[in-house]
Amino acid sequence: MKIIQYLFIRVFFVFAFLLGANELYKWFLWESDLLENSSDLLLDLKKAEKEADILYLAESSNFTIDTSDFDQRTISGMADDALPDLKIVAVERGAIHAGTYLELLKQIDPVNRKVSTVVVTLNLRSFNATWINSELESLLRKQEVMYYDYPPLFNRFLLAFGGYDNKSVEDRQRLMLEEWKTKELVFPFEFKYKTVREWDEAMANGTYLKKNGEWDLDKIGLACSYVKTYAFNLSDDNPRIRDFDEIVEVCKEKNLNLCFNLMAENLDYAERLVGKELVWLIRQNRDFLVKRYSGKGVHVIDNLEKVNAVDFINQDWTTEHYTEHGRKAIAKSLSEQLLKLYPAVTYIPLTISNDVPTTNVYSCDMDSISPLWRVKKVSEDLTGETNKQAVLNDKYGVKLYIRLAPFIGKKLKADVEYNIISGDVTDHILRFNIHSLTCVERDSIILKSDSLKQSDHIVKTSIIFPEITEFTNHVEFFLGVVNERMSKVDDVKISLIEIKE
Amino acid sequence: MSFIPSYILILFFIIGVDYLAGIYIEKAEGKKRKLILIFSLIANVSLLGFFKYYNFFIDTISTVTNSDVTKNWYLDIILPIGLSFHTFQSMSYTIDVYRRKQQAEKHLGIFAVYVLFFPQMVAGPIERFKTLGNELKRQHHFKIENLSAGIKLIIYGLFLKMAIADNLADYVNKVYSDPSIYSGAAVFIAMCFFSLQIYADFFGYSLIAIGSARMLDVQLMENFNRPYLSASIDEFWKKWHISLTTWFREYLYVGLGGNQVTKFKWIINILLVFGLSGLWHGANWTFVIWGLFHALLYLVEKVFYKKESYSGTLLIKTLLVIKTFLLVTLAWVFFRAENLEHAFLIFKSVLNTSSSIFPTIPLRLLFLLPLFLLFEFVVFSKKPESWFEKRPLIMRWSFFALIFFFSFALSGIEKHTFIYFQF
Repeated sequence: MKIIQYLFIRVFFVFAFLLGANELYKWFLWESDLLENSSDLLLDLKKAEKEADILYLAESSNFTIDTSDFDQRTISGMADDALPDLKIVAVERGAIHAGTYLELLKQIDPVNRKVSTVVVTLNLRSFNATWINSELESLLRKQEVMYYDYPPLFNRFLLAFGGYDNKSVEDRQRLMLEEWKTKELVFPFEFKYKTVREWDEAMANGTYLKKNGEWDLDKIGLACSYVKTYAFNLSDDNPRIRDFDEIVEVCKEKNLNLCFNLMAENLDYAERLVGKELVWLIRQNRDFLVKRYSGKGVHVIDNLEKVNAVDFINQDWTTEHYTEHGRKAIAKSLSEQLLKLYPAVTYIPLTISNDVPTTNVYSCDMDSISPLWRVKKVSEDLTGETNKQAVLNDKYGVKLYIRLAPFIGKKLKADVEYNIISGDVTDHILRFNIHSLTCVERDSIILKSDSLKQSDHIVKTSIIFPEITEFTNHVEFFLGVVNERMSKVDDVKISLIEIKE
Repeated sequence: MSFIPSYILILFFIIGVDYLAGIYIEKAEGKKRKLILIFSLIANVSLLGFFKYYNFFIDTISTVTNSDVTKNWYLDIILPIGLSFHTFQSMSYTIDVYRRKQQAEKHLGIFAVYVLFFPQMVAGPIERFKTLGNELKRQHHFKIENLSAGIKLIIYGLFLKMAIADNLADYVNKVYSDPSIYSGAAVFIAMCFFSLQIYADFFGYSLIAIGSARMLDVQLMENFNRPYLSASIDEFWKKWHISLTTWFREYLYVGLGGNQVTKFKWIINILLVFGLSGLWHGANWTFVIWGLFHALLYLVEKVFYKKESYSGTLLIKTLLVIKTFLLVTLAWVFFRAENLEHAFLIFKSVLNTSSSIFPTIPLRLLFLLPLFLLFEFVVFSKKPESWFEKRPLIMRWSFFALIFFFSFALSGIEKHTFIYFQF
């Protein structure tokens, strides 16, 4: 009896102490620790669950913008505007993945909340060995500790004592190399490379040569990166699959609608750089995900092939960072899917301009590309401004894309015409960037005001393009001023004309 | 520093060589004894020299000869964790057997555990066979008092490491990474913080090691005795990293003749012992300079001050303690710096009056630091454990509950390995 009493008193005091300490910690230290440990996504989530109808969990695909985008809204922001009756709030951070989403979703209040639907970005790259064993992983796991479904004090205890997957960079690299070396790729057809390593080595050994016979290391590097990023067969034992499976379970338990927003990948480059076998793998993995999660009652939004190659911001790397047009394409299919879940709400369709024409003549009335630019940038920012050359060129000029892939092997010139409809005629700069797979060739011409027709303000000029090769993607035009006053321009017409010798 | 499974062979080699050396030294007579000892010492020192100092040696040759040829001689060697500690521990045994202070251990298992005893094999204390060996040989029983005492030491050690050293490290690392941009005051605070950081870090580790051993009913030696309350450099070295200091005194300084030699040779001995003690810490000239700087301070004290200078009023004693702390802090700059250039940049930056940049000191550190100073210099007048034992149950429990709570709830968010793990 005495020993029971002895133990009981001590256990009681330990228990009371832990309870008290947990409360003290929660009140005085927890929030500052979340901030210091970059775990503040939990605070974002807690705020969002009270005010949002739809929670959008995402990595950098949502918020990365091109500096020259006229429309700088995020994917979730565009969808939010398209569905004004619903509030869509993003909880986002670069490089996070299903593991993080899962821990966050566990923290959603099952009852006391407004949110009814969760959209989780499904990023195909996040399933590969590179990302799973990324050196960022330990940091992400460290941040996730504070989201665990335990009392805050215990989470802090785990954080302090490294109670999370804290493998060293060397260990992670070893695991990644091991998988590349040993995991066999499965194709329904004969394919000469059995593993990522074999395929990667083949790509690395002089696949691409420059005209002078030297290896084109930029293209080789990119091709190898595509192999390492996309060459895998998804299966049940992938850790991300396990996380997504658990996300489905958690959302079911909490009675939340769940959408997986499968992000677009650059299949055009994958095929041109590596080959159709890689595209087959990507599509097969997409089918695996769509089938698996549709079967579990998840609304899977398949955006895999919704974004054109020109609309990937990082042309020299594999990312899901899209220009405004790419983001808009994804936001459109997202909002259309959400409309099916909330059929009674107002829907303002997102219009996407046909700015990647298949014809060789492109006439632009500007409204469809950047209505904001027309209204705000020209009338408010450009008129009367002085000494804004750099800013104007990049931010406030006219921007146009023309895809050049249909013109491979041809020699082209562009006739450019635009109308200056207000303001003084001044020196203009017409800059164009020819985007290729791994590089951007820049050139520009300056149109002197004294060479321009002052009467009707119609400016006409021509540009001879460099040779269009199989790796040329698109040309990007910027129209701005060299100095001082900018005029409002309209009726920009660019005609691509083949030069026949 | 790393743990590589194949490196266990190094430990087996040390154990094998010194175990046999001990037995043969004991049996042998005359010159043969010395030869076996020399063989054993060469085996140990070569191992340490190869893994720890080979690249340093090549680097020094490259710098001195200004030649690129030697740069090809670098080897991709990773220092086995704790090598400096267990080679020194093992060498002390063979020297003691040679000096007939210790009987050779016939039981290979006991000797192997002496070298491999897990709580202290990574960063000490560097034990002697006469203490740890004999501790291992006696009968061990589970005792609740040992368990309790061990846990208490571990908790206080964790507090020192996680709540104090790691929080201080954040500030110190920030300033030391680019000292020139910070104000002189910020750099000075970083210097003082490093003095406290290394103490909390190493003392914390030692307490965890001692506590772990205590739980197994094994008593390890004390490694620290409030060194920053020393009134002189001589006293500081009697209280700082005691197991290493006594090792150098017993096995090197005494071997060189100690103070029973001419004054000139004594000065050389002091410089040699401190210089080698610095080199023991790491293969970098900064450590050698750190050791020599201490030697210089020690010699100046011995030559110019008499023992009576260190007695007097409390005020005088306090001033002496502050003086010693500041001198030791100056020396730590060499210890912490990445190279000599970096050390001089820190000294230059402490005089910087053109910058007013001051890194934020975390609020929790402003709370913890006074608490730590209070514990260390006021509450624990002797050893922490003797203070623990004398307190009533409720006070003990409250103290440890709070200390444990602070250890993780207020620990630094960034993790830092124990400083002495790199040696």
